[in-house]
Amino acid sequence: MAAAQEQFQTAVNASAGHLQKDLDYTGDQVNKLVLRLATEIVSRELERYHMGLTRLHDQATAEMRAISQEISQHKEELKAQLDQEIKAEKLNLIKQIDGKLADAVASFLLETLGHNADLGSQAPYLITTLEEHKADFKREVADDAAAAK
Amino acid sequence: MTPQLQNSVASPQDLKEAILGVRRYARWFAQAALKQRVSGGQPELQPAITPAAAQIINQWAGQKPLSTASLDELIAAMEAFATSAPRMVITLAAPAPGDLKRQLVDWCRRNVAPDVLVDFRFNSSLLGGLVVSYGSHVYDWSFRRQILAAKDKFPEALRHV
Repeated sequence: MAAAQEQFQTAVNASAGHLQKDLDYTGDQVNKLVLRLATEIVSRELERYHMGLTRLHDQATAEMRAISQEISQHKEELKAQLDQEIKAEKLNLIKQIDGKLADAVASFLLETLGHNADLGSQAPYLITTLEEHKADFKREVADDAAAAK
Repeated sequence: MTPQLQNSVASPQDLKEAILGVRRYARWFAQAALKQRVSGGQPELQPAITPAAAQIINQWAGQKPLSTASLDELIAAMEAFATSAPRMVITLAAPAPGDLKRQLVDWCRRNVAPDVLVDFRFNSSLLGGLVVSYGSHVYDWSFRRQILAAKDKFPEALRHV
């Protein structure tokens, strides 16, 4: 009985040893599996996160490029418009100055020549002027004659 | 029939003056003719009339013998002419001397109309040249007009100085 008890005890002990060993192995495997799965999941998530970040970065870069391009274009347009306005204003100012200058010169001439008319020396010019416009007078005479009839 | 005008009868005023002269002469002529017919006495001295009026009377006498009726006819013809004659106004920069007036009237009668009446005026602001009003037109060939017309060219000219 004691021998059987001892034999049973030995068999139990051996089985317990085996079980303990299996349990240790299984725990170890489970730990390894959990670690591998966790690494894979984290790695995959990190990769997705990285891809997302890259996509966002690319999108942001493209948008920034478009905005920059638009700003440059707008800047060019503004510059061209400003150039045009400056040019127009410059021309306008030149025109105004020319107008005032012309008025000043004309006034000066009218004022200085105003009281020195020498009709004697102008006689040939007066006759020449009339000669140049003789046709106008003749036309007027003809029109008058036609109207009188 | 209208007497041919001398260049000394240039303006409507000259013509009016000539008509007055002819009228004075006609009055004297009628009185002298009456006096001679009634008393056979010497007529009074002929009234002083302008050379233009005398020239018109002489010209008229060359066409038909002078009589009270023919002189009345002359006056009527001249008055009719005064209302119907073509008129022209020439404005100069100063009062026109007689010689220039004659030249211009002569030109107008040779080239525009032989019976045109030319009135002379002056406006010192014209500076020179002339302004001619004829019919419904005013032709401005004054220096003032030319200066004002060319004033836009002054700045350009000054830029090249």
